[in-house]
Amino acid sequence: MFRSIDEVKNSLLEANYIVSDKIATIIFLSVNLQKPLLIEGPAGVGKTELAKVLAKTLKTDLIRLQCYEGLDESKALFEWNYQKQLLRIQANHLTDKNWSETKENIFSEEFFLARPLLQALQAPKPVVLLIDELDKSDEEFESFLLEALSDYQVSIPELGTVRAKSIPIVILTSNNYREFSDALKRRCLHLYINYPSFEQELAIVRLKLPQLKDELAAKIVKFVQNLRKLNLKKGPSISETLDWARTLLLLGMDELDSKTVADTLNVIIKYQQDVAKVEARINGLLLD
Amino acid sequence: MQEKILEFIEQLRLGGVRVSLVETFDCFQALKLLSWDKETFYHTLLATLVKDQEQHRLFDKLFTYYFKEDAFFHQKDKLYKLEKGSLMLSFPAGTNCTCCEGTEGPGGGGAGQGRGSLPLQQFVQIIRLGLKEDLENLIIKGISMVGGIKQQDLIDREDIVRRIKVSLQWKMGEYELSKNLQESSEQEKIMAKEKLELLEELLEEKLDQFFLERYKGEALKEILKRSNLKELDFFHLSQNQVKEIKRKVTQLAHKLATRVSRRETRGKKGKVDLRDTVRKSRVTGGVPLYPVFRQRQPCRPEFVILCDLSGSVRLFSEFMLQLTYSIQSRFIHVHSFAFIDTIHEITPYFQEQDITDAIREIYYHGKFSKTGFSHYGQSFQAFSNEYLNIISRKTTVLIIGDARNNYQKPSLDEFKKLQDLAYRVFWLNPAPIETWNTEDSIIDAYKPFCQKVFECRNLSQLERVVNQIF
Repeated sequence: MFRSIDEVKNSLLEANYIVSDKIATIIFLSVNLQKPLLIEGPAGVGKTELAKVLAKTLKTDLIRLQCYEGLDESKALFEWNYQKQLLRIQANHLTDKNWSETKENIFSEEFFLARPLLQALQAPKPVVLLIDELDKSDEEFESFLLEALSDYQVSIPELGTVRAKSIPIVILTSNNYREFSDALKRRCLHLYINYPSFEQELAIVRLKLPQLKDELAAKIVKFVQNLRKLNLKKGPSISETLDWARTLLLLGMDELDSKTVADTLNVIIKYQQDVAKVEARINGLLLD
Repeated sequence: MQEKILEFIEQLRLGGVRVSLVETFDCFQALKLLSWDKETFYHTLLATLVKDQEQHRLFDKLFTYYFKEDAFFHQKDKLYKLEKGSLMLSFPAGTNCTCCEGTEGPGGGGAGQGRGSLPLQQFVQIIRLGLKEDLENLIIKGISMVGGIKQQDLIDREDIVRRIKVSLQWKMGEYELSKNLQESSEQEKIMAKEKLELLEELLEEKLDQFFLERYKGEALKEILKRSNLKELDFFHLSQNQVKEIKRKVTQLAHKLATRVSRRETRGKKGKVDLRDTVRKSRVTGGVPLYPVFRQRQPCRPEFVILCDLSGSVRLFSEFMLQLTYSIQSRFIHVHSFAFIDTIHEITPYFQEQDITDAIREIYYHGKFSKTGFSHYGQSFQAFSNEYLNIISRKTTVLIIGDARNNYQKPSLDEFKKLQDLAYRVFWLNPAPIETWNTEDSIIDAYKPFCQKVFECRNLSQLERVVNQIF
C-alpha cells in the first residue's frame, strides 16, 4: 500500500523508473483500491518493465503469465499431474488397495500443479501478478479470467472454490492488437502509456545511462523523436532509444554524424522498408 | 457535487462511452482517497471511467466544458500541461469566446466582412513560423470571416468546415506550402506537417467551442453524437475519424481471426496426441481405450468479395477489404473484385503488399471503370462471363454496394447464377435504410437472390454483421 502519490513517484524513481503524475496517480489507485490495472500502449514503452519495477519497490515477488493464442485453463490456472495419478492408480492396483482409498488419494494436493494464476492467489503475502500481452490470447481465456479478477477466487471442479489467501496486485498489458470485452474492461482501471515527450525521454536516457554525454544524449533523443513523426511501419520505442545509446557508448562515439547513424540504424529500425525510407533522409533529420 | 459528476457520466454515455454502475462506484471510491486538485481529479476520472484510448478526446472536451469553475476545486486553477494527443484548452473562468463576435447572421455585424478571404502568403507564413497562439488566432479569424453561422450548421458540420477552409484559402495554402518546402530540410517538412494537423484539430476545437457558447445544450448533444464513433454514419466521418475507424476495423479482424481458427475438429488418423490420450484414459481407469489424434482440421470457408468502388461507397469498401485481408490467412482463399461499371480482379494486389499500399495501387492501376457511373448490371454480366468458375459450393459471396444502378439494366439472370452456384450470398449496403429503393437504388430487385441483405451504415452495425458472417 502506498501512502501518497509522491511516495509512488519517489520509490519508483529509486528503482530507476521515471513516471509522470498521471501514471503515479493511477498506480496509487490500483494498489490502494485493489483493482486490476490494464495498461495499453505501443510496444516498448515500458509496460512490462513497470510491473517488474513495482514488484521490486513493494519488495514482493513477480509472477508472470505470458499470453498467447490457445492459452487455456490448464496452462494458466492449474493442472492435474496425470502421469503421476496414473502411476498411483497402477501402484494401488498392484498392492490391492481398494477403490475408495485410491479415489481419495489421487485428487489431493500431491497431484496438483498450480500454474501462475493460482500461484498468485495462493501466495501468503500479496504478489504482483503480471498478465503480459493479454491481447494475444483469445476470448475464451478472457472469460475465465473474469471470475479470477473480480472476486479473486477460482472454482476447481474437484476441490471446490479456492479463495485467495492474499489479494495480488494484478497488471494486464496489451498492445492494442484487439479489443477486449466490456466485462473485462469494467473490472480494471485503465492506463494508456504513449511514447514520451522529448523532456521525458531525455530524462530517462540520462537516468539509465549517466555516463553518456549530455549533448550526445540530447541529439540522440531529438533524432528518435523525429523518426517517430515519419510514417514508419514500426517507429522506435524507448527501449530502442536506450539500446542505441548503449551501442554508441560501446563504440565510443562522441558525435552523431550521418555515417554513424547509417551504420547503427538497424538498432532502432527493425523493418527493411523503414530502413530504406530513413536512409534517404538522414542528413535532413540531423540538421538543426 | 455528486450530481455534477453523475451528470458528467450521463453525458459521457451519450457520447458512446459505456460507463457502468461499477465504474461509477469505483470513481467515487477513488475520489475519496485522493486530494482534489484539478490534475488528480482529471486523472482519477480518466482512469475509472474511460477504458478506451479513442474516447480520450471526447472525455477532454466534456471535462473542459463541465469543470471549468475554479470554485469546484480546493486548489487554485493551474494551467495544466498539454498531454500528447489531447488538446485540453484551459478555460480561465469568465472568458468569452472571441470568435462569437461579428457573426450574428448574414452580412455580419461589426467590421462588415462577409465573404473576405485571407491572403495566401499569410497562411503559409503562419504555418511555417507561427506558434500555437498564432494558429488559434488564424482559426478564430477564419470563423469570423464566414458570415451567418446558423443552428442548422450544427448538423451540416461538413459544410461549415468547408466554408471556413475556403475563406482561409486552406487548400491553396497547402499547395503553396509544399512548393515552398521543396528545398527545405526534413526537420522543417515534419514541423509543417505537424502544424497543419494541429490546425485541423484546432479548427474542430474552436468550432465546437463556438457552437457550445451559442447553442449550449443543443450543441452539446450534436457534438456528443459526432464523437460517438461507433454510431456515426460512415458518410459523416472526418479525416481523423476515418483513421480511427481503420484501426478499429483491423482490431475487429484480429478478434475474428482467433475465433475462426478455433472452429477445428480433431482428425481421425495420424499422429497420436499422447497427453490428451492419457487425459482421456482416466475415465477408463488408466487404460487408453480412446486415442486422441494430433491433427486438427480447421474449417476454412472460401470467400469472394465484389466491391463497388464508386463515390460514397468507396470508403466502406475499403474498410471491408481491410477487414477481409486482415483475416486472410484464416481462409483457404479470398478472391476480391472491384467494379463500377465493369469488373476487375484485385486479388493479386494484396499478395505481397501492405493493405494500404495495395488499395492505393488499385485506384491507380485498376480497370474497373469506363464511364465513372455505376452499372451493376454490366458488372455482374462481366463477372458471369469471365469469373464464374471460381465459385464453388463452399463459397460465400459478399457484395458491397448501394445498388444505385443509374436506371440501367440490372442483369438479374446473371446474378441468379451466382446464387445457384455459391453456398450463400450476402449483400452489405452502407446506405441508410431509408434511402433503399429510392431514386435509382434497386436493392429489392437483387434481394430475392441473396441469403440476407444487411444495412451497414456505422461501425456498430458493421461489427454485428461481421460477427454473423465470418
